[in-house]
Amino acid sequence: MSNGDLIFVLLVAGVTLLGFVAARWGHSTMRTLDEWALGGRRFGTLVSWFLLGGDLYTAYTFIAVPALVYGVGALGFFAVPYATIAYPIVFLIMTRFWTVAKRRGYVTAADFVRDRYGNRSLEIAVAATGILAAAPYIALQLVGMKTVFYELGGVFALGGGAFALVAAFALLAAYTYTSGLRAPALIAFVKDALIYITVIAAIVVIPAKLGGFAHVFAAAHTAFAARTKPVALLLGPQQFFLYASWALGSSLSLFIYPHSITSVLSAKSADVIRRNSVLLPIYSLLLGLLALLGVCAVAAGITTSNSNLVVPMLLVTYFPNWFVGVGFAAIVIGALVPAAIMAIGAANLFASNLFSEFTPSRPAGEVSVAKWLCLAVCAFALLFVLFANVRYAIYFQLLGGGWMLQTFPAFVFGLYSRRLHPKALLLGWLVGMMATTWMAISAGFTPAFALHLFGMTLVGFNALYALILNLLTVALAGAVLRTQHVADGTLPADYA
Amino acid sequence: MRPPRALALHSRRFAGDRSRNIYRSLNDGGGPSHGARGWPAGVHGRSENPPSGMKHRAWYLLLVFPFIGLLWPALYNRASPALLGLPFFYWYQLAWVILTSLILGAVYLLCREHPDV
Repeated sequence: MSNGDLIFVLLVAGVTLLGFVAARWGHSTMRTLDEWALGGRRFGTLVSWFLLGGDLYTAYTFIAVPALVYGVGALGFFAVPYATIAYPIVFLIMTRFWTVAKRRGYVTAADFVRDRYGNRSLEIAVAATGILAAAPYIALQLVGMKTVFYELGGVFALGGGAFALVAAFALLAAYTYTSGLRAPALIAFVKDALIYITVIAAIVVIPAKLGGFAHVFAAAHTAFAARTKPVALLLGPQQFFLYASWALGSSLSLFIYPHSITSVLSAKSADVIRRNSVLLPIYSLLLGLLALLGVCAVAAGITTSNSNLVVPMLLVTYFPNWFVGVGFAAIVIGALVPAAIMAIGAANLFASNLFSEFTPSRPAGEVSVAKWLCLAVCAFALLFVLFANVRYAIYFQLLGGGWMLQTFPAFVFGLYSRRLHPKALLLGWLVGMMATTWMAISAGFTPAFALHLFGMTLVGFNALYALILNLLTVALAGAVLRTQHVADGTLPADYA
Repeated sequence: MRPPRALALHSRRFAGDRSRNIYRSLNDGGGPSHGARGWPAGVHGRSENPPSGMKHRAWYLLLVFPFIGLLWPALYNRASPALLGLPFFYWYQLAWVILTSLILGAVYLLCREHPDV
C-alpha cells in the first residue's frame, strides 16, 4: 500500500467514525423528525456554513464543472454566475421559508405546500418531484466515488471499484440511520477542509507548472481550435441566451432540492441563513477557480474520453503520491456528505408527505419510518449505480433539475401570496413536467433546447422554457378557476 | 377569510416582548428567540410587524445588480483587458462572486433589526 492509499484509508475511516459519534452531538434524543432529520434546528452560522457548503458543492460538482469546461470551453463556466446569483435568492426566499417552517414545524417543502394550499394532490406532486430529482443526484455521487476507487487501483479497484463502493456506502447508510443530519454536518468540516486544501493547492501549483495563466489560456486556445469540433474560450453570440438561461434556471431550482431544504431548515435562525448567503459565495469562488482547471487540463494536453477523469488525472500528474491520497479522499468524502443529506431529504418527503399527510402535530413513529426509508433510498441508489448504465443516472439528473424547477411556482409564489389556486398550480406543474421531459428527450438528453418561434431560433435551457409554460398555465387556469376557499393553515405573521 | 383576532392584546404582547428581546438576544445570539419561543403557532397578531423581520427594505434593490451584471453575457464576453493572465470573461465573473458577497453583506448590515446583536 502506498503512502497515498494509506492517507486515503485513514481519512475515510476517520470520517466514518465521526459519522457514528455525531449521534451524541448536542444532547440529541433522535426521537423526533426534527432531531434526526434537521439536527434539532440548532445549527449556528459556522456549522451551517460547512453543512450547506458540503451539501451544495458536491464532489460531483467539483468533478463535473472542470469536466464541462474541458469539454465545451466558455459555456461550461456558467456554473459561476449560477452559483453567484443563487445567493440573493437564498437571502430573500429561503429566510422567509425558514421562518414559516420554524413556526409551523415543516420538515419539507411539500409540508409547506400542503399547509398553505390545503391541497393533498399538490403536496404529493411536490414531494414526488423532489424524490425523483434527488434519487439520480445520489446515484451521481456514487458514480464519482466509484471513479476514484477505480483510479486508486489495487484492492479498491476490485470489480471496477464496486466492492469498495458497497462497503463505503453501507457504512454511510448505517451512520446516517443512527445519527441523522448530525453525521453529514460533522463530516462536512473534514470534507470542506480537504476540498479547500486540494483545490487551493491545485490552483496554485498546476497553472504555475504550466507557465502561468496567460500561457495556459494561449495553449488551451490552440488545443481547443485543433479539435475536430472546435471549442472556444469565449461565448459565441448564439450562446449568450443559453449561458444566461442555464445560470438563471439552475439558480432558481438549486434551493428547492430536498437536500438544500434539509440543510436550510437545520439552521437555528433566519439570520444564520442571511449570514450564510453572505459567506457561502466563498465556495463559488472556489468552484470558479476549479472550473479554470478544465482549461489547465486542455493546456496540459490531457486527453481522455471520460472527461470526469480530468481532475483526478491532473492531480496524479502534478502532485506527489501522498497528496493524491488527500485529494481522492476529498472527492470520496465530498460525495458522502451530500449523499447522506439527499437520502435524508428524500426520506423526509416519503415519510412526511407520501406515506402520510402533513399535519402540524407530527404523527408518532414518523422518525422510524424516515430512518428506514433513508436506508431504502441508499440501497436503491447503490443498486442503480451497480446495475444500470451511468448514462441513465446523468440523464435522470438532468431531467431532475428540470422537474425540480416546475415546483417553483407552488413553493416560492406560495411564500408570498395566498391567491394562487392550488388546482391551477397543479395543472401548471403537470404541463411543466411534460414540457421539460419532452424537450429533454427531443434534444437527445441535453439541457439545450432550440425554440423556433416567429421565424427565429433561440437555444435556451429547456427547464426555463417549461417554467414559462408552467407559469402561463397557472395564470390562465387561475383566471378561469378564480374563486376559491383555500384552507390556508398559515398566518401572515408566520412569514416575518 | 379568517375570523378577526384580538389584535390589541397581542400587539401589546409583541411590544413587551420586543423590548425584552434586545437583552435576550444578546445572550443567545438573537434569531430564533424572536417569536419562535413565546407564542404558540397561530395566536400572534396580524398587523404588527413581527420582531425578527428586516427593516429598510429599499436596500433590497441592491440585490438586482448581480443579476444585471451576470445574466447579460454580451457585457463581458471579451478577452481583454486580461488580469493575471485571465481573460476578461473569466476574471469579471469571478469578481462578481466577491462583489455579490459584499452586496449581500451590506444589505444584511443595513437591514438588521438590532445592529448591536
